[in-house]
Amino acid sequence: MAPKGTDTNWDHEFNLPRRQNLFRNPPTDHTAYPALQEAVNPHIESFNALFPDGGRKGLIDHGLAEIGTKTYLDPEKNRLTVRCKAVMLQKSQVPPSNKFAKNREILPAECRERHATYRGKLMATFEYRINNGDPVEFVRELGQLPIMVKSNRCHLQNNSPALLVKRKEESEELGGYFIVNGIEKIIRLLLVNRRNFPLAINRPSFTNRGPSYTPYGIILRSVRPDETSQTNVLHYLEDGNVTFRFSWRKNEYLVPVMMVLKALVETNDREIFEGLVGPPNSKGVENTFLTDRVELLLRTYKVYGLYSKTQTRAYLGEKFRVVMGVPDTMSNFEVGTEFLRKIVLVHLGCVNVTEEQDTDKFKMLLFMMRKLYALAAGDCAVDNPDAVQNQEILLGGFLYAQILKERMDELLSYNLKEALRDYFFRNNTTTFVSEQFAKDFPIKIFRRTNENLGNTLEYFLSTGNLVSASGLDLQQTSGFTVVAEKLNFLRFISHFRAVHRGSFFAQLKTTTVRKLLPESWGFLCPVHTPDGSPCGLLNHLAHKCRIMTDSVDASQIPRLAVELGAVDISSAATDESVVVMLDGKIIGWCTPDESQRLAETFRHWKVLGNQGVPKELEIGLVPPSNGGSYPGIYMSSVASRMVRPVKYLPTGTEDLVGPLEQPYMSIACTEPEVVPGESSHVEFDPTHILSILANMTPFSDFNQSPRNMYQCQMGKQTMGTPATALRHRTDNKMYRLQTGQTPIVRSPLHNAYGFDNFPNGMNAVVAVISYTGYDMDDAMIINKSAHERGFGWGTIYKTKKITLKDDSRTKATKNIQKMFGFAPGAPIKAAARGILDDDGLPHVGQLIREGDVLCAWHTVSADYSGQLINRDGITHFEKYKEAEECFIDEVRVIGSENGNEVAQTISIKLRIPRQPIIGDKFSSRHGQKGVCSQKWPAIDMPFSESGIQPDVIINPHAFPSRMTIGMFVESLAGKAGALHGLAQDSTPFRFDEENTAGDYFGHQLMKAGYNYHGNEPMYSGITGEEFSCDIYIGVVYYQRLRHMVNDKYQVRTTGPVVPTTGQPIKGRKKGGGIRVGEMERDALLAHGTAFLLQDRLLNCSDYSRSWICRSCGSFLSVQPTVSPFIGKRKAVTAVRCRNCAKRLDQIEDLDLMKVEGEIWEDGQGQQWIGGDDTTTVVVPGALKFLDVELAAMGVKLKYRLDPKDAVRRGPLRQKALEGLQMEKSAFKPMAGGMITVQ
Amino acid sequence: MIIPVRCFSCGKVTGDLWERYLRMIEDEGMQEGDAMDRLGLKRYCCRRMVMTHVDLIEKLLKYTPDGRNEKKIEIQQRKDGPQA
Repeated sequence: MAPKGTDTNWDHEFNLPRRQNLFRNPPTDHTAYPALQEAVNPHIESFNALFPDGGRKGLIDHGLAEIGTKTYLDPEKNRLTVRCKAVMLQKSQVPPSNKFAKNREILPAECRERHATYRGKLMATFEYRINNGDPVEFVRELGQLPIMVKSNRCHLQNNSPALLVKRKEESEELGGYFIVNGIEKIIRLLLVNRRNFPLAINRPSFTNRGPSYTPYGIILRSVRPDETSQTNVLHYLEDGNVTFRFSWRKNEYLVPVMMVLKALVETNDREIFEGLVGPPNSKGVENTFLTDRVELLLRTYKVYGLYSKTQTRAYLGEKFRVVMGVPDTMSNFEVGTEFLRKIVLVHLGCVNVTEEQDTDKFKMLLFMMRKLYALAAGDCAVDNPDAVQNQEILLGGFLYAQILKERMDELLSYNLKEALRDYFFRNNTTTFVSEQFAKDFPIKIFRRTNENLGNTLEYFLSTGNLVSASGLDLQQTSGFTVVAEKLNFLRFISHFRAVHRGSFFAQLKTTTVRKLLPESWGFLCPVHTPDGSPCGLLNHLAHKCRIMTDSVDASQIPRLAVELGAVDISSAATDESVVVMLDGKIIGWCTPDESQRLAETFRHWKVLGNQGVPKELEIGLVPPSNGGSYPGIYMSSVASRMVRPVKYLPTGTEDLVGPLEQPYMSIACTEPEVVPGESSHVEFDPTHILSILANMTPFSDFNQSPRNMYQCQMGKQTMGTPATALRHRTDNKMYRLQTGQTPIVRSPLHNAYGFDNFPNGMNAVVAVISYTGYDMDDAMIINKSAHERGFGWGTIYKTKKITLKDDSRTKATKNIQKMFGFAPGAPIKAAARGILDDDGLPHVGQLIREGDVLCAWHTVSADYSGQLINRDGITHFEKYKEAEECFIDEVRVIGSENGNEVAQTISIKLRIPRQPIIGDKFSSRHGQKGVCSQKWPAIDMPFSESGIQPDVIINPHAFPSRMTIGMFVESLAGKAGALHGLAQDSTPFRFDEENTAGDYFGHQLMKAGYNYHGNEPMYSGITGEEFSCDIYIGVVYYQRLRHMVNDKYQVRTTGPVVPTTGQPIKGRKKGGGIRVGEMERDALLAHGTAFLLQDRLLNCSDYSRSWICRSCGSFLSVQPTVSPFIGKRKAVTAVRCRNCAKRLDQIEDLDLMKVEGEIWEDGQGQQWIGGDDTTTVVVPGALKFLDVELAAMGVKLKYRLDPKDAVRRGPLRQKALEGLQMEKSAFKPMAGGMITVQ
Repeated sequence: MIIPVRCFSCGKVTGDLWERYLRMIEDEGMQEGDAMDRLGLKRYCCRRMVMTHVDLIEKLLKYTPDGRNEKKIEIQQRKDGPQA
C-alpha cells in the first residue's frame, strides 16, 4: 500500500496536532489545503493555456495560425512571404552574460527581494520564402516576458509545500500573479458578454447610427480559438432591412447583411427566404410580419446587382481592401474571402475556412436575423447583458494571450512593413533576391522592428494600460491589472476571486448594471461587494463557483442530437421548431417538445458521463414562452464559462450547471424544498452562494444583511498575518498582528482554506455595558492591562528602496557615478557613525528617528586604469524623513543581474512598532467597528463573580439599530467554546425556529455552570458594588483594523502656505491644514463664536498685514520709498501712494520752496511728493489676491478705511452702531473691523 | 506567534503552559477541554489564550537566514562537547 498522503479533508475543529505538524513539517507530497489552490487556479490555468505542455496547441499557436503568412513586394516585384512558426517561452533564468551564478534559475522570491520582474526569455521562430524559393527559418528573441507564478513556465509549478518553503515561499503559495518590479500584480477578471451567443438588445443609442435605425439589434461576441474576439452586430432598420455592423481597428463599418449572406455561400433569394421564414408548408409562412419584411429585405438588395458569391466577394474585397491592409498581390475576390475569414462569425472558422464552415456562418446569420425579426415583432424578449446569464469571464491569461497575439500580428504586418520600406530606402540597390538581403533580413531588418514583446507586456502589467490598435474588442483601455496587496490573507485571496464589470460601467450614471440580479445565484456572492463607488461592479465569485479554462470534448454532441431527432429544416414559428445550438453553431432544429426531451436526455448522460457527453457541458434549454427569451437549446463546451456544482436528484451525484441554463432549471435550495416532479437539482449547501470571505462571517444569517457586507470590507482591512515568509518579502507596506489567534467560532471552511496559517484577530472577552461614558458612539474601551499584556499589538513594515541610478528607464550606462559607503579618507560625522556601519549602511536593529541618516554614498569617477575613485571627499546621506520612530529590520544590497556591477541599489526594511493607542480602530466580525477611546486601568474595570474582567467594553447602543444578532450568538458560542474546549461551528443556516442557536449555546453555558442567557452579575471596578442588572459578557473574535491614528492625525498651527493666496496648503504629508469649510463656518457663526471664527479663518489662515492708501483706498498703488542715501537696505522707511503722489518733474512751475510735505524717491530715482496718507491694515491674503485679479480685468476696488468715509446714499437713516459696518462681501468676514468694501 | 506570557484579561501566566498543553493533546490524545482542566485553567479568559493560540513561530523558523541554523547547531555541539 502506498504511504498515506497528506490529509486534505477538514472540519471546524482546532486540529491542533495536525496543524502543528503542518507547521513543523510542511508536506512533501501536496498541499493540505487544495480548496485554496482551486480558488486561484483559473488564473494559472488560463496562463498555462498560452504555452501548454504535452504538445497540445496553445493559444499562441492558434493565434499564429490566424495571423497566417504576410506577403511583401520589393521594388522589382519579388515576393517575400513571412510567417511566425512558433513562439517559445523559457523559464526565468540568469542571463548568459552573468559568468558568476552557479544556480542559473531565478526564483520568484529573488525577484521580490530584488524589486525585479519575474520573467523568461520569449523566442519566436520565423520562416520566410522568396518567390516560391525554399523556406528559410530563423529565430529571434522577443524580449523577456513576465511569467505568472506557479504557472507551467514557473519554477514553482507543482512544488510541494516543503520545497516551496525551501525556495523561500509561503508553504501555501498560491501563484496566479505576476511579479513586476518586485510588486505582485494580478490581471483582473472581467465580465464580458457571453461568447458565440446572439444577444437580443434594445438600446436607444442604436438609433444614432443613422436614419431609419431602430433600437433593436442582435449582438454576438464571436471568439476565435486563440481567445481573441470580434463582435458582430445586426441592426434592425425601420423598413425591415438588416445591416451588419462590426468594428475593425477601432472604426465601425456597416454592411448590408444580404451582402454578407450572398458572399458566404452560393445562394439565391428563395433559399434565404426559406432559411428565414421556413419551408412553404410551415407555420412560419403565416407570419406576415416576417414575410413582408423579408420580401423587402430581398427586394432592396437588388440595387447592388450582385448575384453570385464571386461577384459579392469581389465587391466586398474592393471596398475593404484598404481597411484590411492586405498586400497588393491579392485579388478582390481573395480580399473578400479574407474579410469573411477575419470578421464574420469568426468562431465558426477563421483559419483555412472551408465551404462547410461558410455554410455554418450562413446558417448562423440567418438564425440571428430570425431572432432579430422576432425581437422587432415583440415575439421575443430582450436579453439582459448585465445578467450573469449572458456573461462570461475574461481570464487574465487569455487577455495576456490576446495582447501577445496582437503585438505579434502588428510586428509582422506593420512594423516589418515599415522596416522593409526603411531598408529599401537606405539600400535602394538591393532586392529580396540579393545576397545582402538574405544576410540582413533576420538581423538588421528585424532589429529595426519593435520586436520587444516582453516590454509591452511588462508595461501592461505594471500600469494596467492596454496599448492596442484594435482595442481587443474591449470597452476599456486601462485598469486591467491591480496590485495583489498582501495586507492580510483575506484581502490577498479576495483579489483572485474578484470579478469586475469593467471600468466603462464605473462612469455610467445609470445604476442598473450594479443591481444584484437573481441570475447571479451561486455564481457571484450577494454579500461580498464593496460599498461606495465600485458597489455592484466589483463582485466576488461564490466559493464553489469555478471557471472553465479549457473547452471540453463535445464532438459527439452533433451526432447525438441528430439521433435524438434534430433535423435540418426549420421554420420561423417557435412553436414549430426551435434551434439546437452548440458553441454558436447550429446543429439542428426540433420541435419544442422534442427539445425538452433532448435536453433532459443530454442532462442525464452528462451527469452519468455516458455517450461522450462531458459533465462540464452547459445545456441551456430555453423553453418556448409567450414573449419570453428566444427558445432553443444552447449548449456550450468552451472556456471562460462559470460553472458550479449542484446535486442532480435522479442520480444523487454532482452536476455542474452554468449561468445560462440555471434560470430555466428548478434547483431546490435545501432538501426539504425539493418539489417532487419539478425539482431536478438541489444545492449541496446553501452557503455555496457565499464567497470565501462571506463564509467567514460567523452566523451571518442572524445579521442584518448590510452588516455582513461591512464585515467583508473590514475583513480585508484587518491587520493580520500577511505572510509567514516575511523575511523574504519587500512589500512597500505590510501590517502584522503580533498575537494572532484562531477564532473559537468558525466554519469548517476556515480550516479548509487554511486561514490558521494567517491569523487575523484575537479572541477578546467583550462586555456589553455602558460603563465609563467613554464608550459612546461606537467607541470602545480596552482594558489597559490587556493592552500591556499584548492584546492587539502590531507592527508595520515599510520598505525603502534607495537607488543611486538617476533614471531606471534609460539604458543602464556602464559608467558608475555613485557608490554606497563613506567617501574614503574623509572625516565621518559622529551622528552618522552611530547609525551607520563601516560600509555606509545602517546597523540592523538600529533605532531611527526623523532626520537620521539611512545610508551614505559618495561620487566616484574612473581614473586612468579604470579604477573608481572618489575625488571630492564628500559623503552624502539619505535621510529618514518620516516623523515616526522605527527600527532597521533588514538591509539588502542589490547588485545587477549580470553580477559584474557595483551595487547601485539597496533596499531597507523598516519596522515600526504599533501598540494599540487611543484612536485606533477595531471591529468584530459583524460589521461592528469602533474606535478605542480609553485604555481603562484594570483596577477600575468591572469584574464578574469568577473574577473575569473584560478586554473590551462596548456600548449596548451599538445593537438595537444595527441588529447584529450574530455577534450575540458568537459571544455565547465563544464563551461556551472556551469553557468546554470546543471549536464552535458557525456555518450559517444551521439553526431554525425549533432549534435555536441561543438555546443550543445557552445549554452549553448552563452545563458549564454559567447563565443560560450569557449574562453574568458584575461588580463596578470603582465602587465594588454589584450592578443592578447582569451584564452580557462573552468571547468575541476581534480584528484590529489598519486605520490607525498614527497614520492619520493632522496638527498644524502655522506652516506651508499656497503662495498666491497665503492660505494653508492641503495634505497631511506636507503639514497642511484641514479646511474649515462653508458649513463649518456656518456652525461657528451660529454658535456666536466670533473670536474662534476669526482665529480659524484669518489668524491661522491667510492673515496678512498690508499697506493701503487711505485717500484713494487702494492696495495696489502703495510702494515703499527708496532712500538714495541708505542704499539697498531692506528696512522700509516709509510707504507712499504713487497714485495720490505727484511726480516732481511733472509739476509745472515747480518751486521747491513752496512744496508742502516731504519729497520721496522711488526705485527708478524719480522724485515724488504727496501720497503720504498710508497706513497698514490686517486683511486676508485672499482679499489682496482678488483685488489683483479684478484689477487685471479692469475693475478697481476702493476700500474705505473709516465709516466716516462711506458714501451715504438714499434717505437719511439712523446711524449704525459704533464700530463695524459690514456690507455683503463675496468671501470671508474680514478682520480689523475697519474695512468696508463698496 | 509565541504564546503570550500572561492571559490578556486576568494576568494568569500562560507562557509556560503551551508546551505542556501541546504534549497532552499531541502525545496523550486528550481533548482540549480536559487538557486545559489539567493545566488548571479555570476562567474562560485564560482558556481561550491557550486553546486558540496559533504557534506561528514554528512556521517563521523555517525561514531563518542561510547558514544560521548550521551555526546554531555548531554552537550547540561545542557546548555539548565537553559534557559528552
